[in-house]
Amino acid sequence: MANIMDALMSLDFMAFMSAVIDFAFNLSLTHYLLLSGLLFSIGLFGVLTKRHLIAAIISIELMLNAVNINFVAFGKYLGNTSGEIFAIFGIVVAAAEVAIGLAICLALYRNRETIDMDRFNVLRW
Amino acid sequence: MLHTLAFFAVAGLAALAALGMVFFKNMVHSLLSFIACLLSVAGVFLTLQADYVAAVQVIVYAGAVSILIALAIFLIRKDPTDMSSSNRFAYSTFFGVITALMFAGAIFVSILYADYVGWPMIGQTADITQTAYGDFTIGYLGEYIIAFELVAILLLVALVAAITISKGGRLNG
Repeated sequence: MANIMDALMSLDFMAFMSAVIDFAFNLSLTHYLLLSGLLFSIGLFGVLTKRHLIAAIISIELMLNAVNINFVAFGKYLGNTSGEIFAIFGIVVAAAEVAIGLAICLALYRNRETIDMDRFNVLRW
Repeated sequence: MLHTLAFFAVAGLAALAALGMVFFKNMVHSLLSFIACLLSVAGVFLTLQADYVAAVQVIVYAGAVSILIALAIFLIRKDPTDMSSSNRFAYSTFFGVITALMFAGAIFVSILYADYVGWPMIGQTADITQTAYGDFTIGYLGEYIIAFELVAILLLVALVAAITISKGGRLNG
């Protein structure tokens, strides 16, 4: 799919259009990687900007989902099942992570009476 | 052709739901949008012929994890008077936007310039009509048996730790 970028750089309109049509009709690994990168970036944006602690946790879950899409897509295009196996491992680790994260949320809320990310500054020097 | 159409449908749904998850002001709406995104990602797994991963995604993520998050939201009342603006942006929004945009640009450019040399299936679409459960189970109980057992131990430890932490850190309290 490098020809989209090549056509864009060389300002060749016809080549660019044919590359776009090729992108729209032929599913390839690049589609899955782009979707995964988009979801990962949205999750990163959520982690960095949200104030609610649980919103940050579900943004991290979104990033782990993007990684799972990458695992399955790479495994499928490599032609074996190791990608799916590691995607299952990723889902299990994410489930453990969200259980611990929400337990920490509840403990923090019980101690501090807030879950505002801007007010967790006990480690400030 | 139909396959590509299905991919664009579920991918668009996933991206829209993820954007809604970030931009909704109500935390409960944000969670519902997150569940829609998880189901769309299960659809993406289906277009990759990964039926088992899609089923696990629906059961574990859209079933268990989302219910866990919903219960945590119900137990934590950030602002009891106003649920409708419970999911606002923090003070660091500007730097978050800049960082996320820079990351997205870097990763998109590197994906679009990537050159896959020596990958056997790369010229084809992912339309592999048979799913391979046999290889799947052989992988779990053969090559990856140690990882499989370690994940079981990890789940047990996470279960005990979640109970301990949410009880307040005391084992016998």
